[in-house]
Amino acid sequence: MEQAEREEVNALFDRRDEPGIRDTLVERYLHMAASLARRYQHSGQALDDLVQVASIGLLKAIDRFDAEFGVNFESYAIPTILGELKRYHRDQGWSVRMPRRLQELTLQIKDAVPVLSQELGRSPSIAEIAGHAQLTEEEVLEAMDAQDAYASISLDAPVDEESEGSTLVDRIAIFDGDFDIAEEWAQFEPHLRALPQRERQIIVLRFFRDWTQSQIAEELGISQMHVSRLLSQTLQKLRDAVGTAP
Amino acid sequence: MTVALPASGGLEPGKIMLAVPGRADSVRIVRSVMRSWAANVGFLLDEIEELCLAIDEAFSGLISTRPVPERITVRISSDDGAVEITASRDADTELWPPVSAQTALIQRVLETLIDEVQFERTADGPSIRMVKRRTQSVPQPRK
Repeated sequence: MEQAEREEVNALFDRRDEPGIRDTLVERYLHMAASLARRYQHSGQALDDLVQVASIGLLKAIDRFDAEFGVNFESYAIPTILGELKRYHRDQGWSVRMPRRLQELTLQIKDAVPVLSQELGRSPSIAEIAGHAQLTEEEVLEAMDAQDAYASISLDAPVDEESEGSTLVDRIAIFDGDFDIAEEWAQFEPHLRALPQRERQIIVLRFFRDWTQSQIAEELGISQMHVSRLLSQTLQKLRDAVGTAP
Repeated sequence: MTVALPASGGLEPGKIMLAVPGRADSVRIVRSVMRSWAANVGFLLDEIEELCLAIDEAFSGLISTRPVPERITVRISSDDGAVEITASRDADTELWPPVSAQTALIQRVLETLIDEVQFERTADGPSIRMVKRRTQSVPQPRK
């Protein structure tokens, strides 16, 4: 963007509370929001709905943007819009696939596990989770099974409601850096290195640095069961890569 | 799915045997039973999820070798804070374990997740036997 254009846009943001100016900004960037919405068409959601959700993200970005941030508006708006789309995608997918009762059970367990882990200084048992959440052990197990069946967690899923588009990928990036391959894993090194960096990091933490799932969960601020599913998905990917290698 | 509980000869009290189709989607059934069993023995959430990962790996090793098995048999038992799982395929193979990079990877992963891992042949066919012990003192298991 040329300097003159940037100044013109910033001037519009300075006046966004004036009648009509906010609409002008929306019109100016609506094509960008629509373009981001199209990325989620594969999810089975109607494009009109996705564009509407992206527009909400755009409005939030317009209201919150401050030229003092030192970045152009697009750099600020894109993560905000993607965050809105990811949250919508997750919530819709979740509500379509998992019955409300199981959703509620799952949330109760998700709340209970970190509290118990903190109190006990170790991973809790199913009986302890049930006791804390005032559920039966069968209900805890049922919710865990349901997560196997329904949840489709990916590294691109938003971490939580407050994360404004921050994804697991973003959080795991704190572990950027190289890793040493233990001798017994050497033959898989090309496949490990070919994994997307963040997925590789989860494998490294569990299998090379010997972190427990609880430790990984605590470090990343996600649930232990979530870590398990991510490991499962990444190991599957690794097996497929190794199995199809010439 | 068929769950077999023979009246005699093969299954003792405190043991369970599952027979499931030799397909990838059957693993969910085995994970579910495994969770329930391990919870009953008093395993912690971390350990239960590691067992489930191990089930994934073993299942993958059993169904990815040709000829494709029609059935996977899983026997689970527990003794003194340890759980033993033997998963077998009904289709025999000349080499067990097969010599492949994928099998080597599965072995590596299992060795990290599980205390004892053995590829062996049993009456059920080529098998993977796994033992995982509880690592921490936990409250009394549910009766």
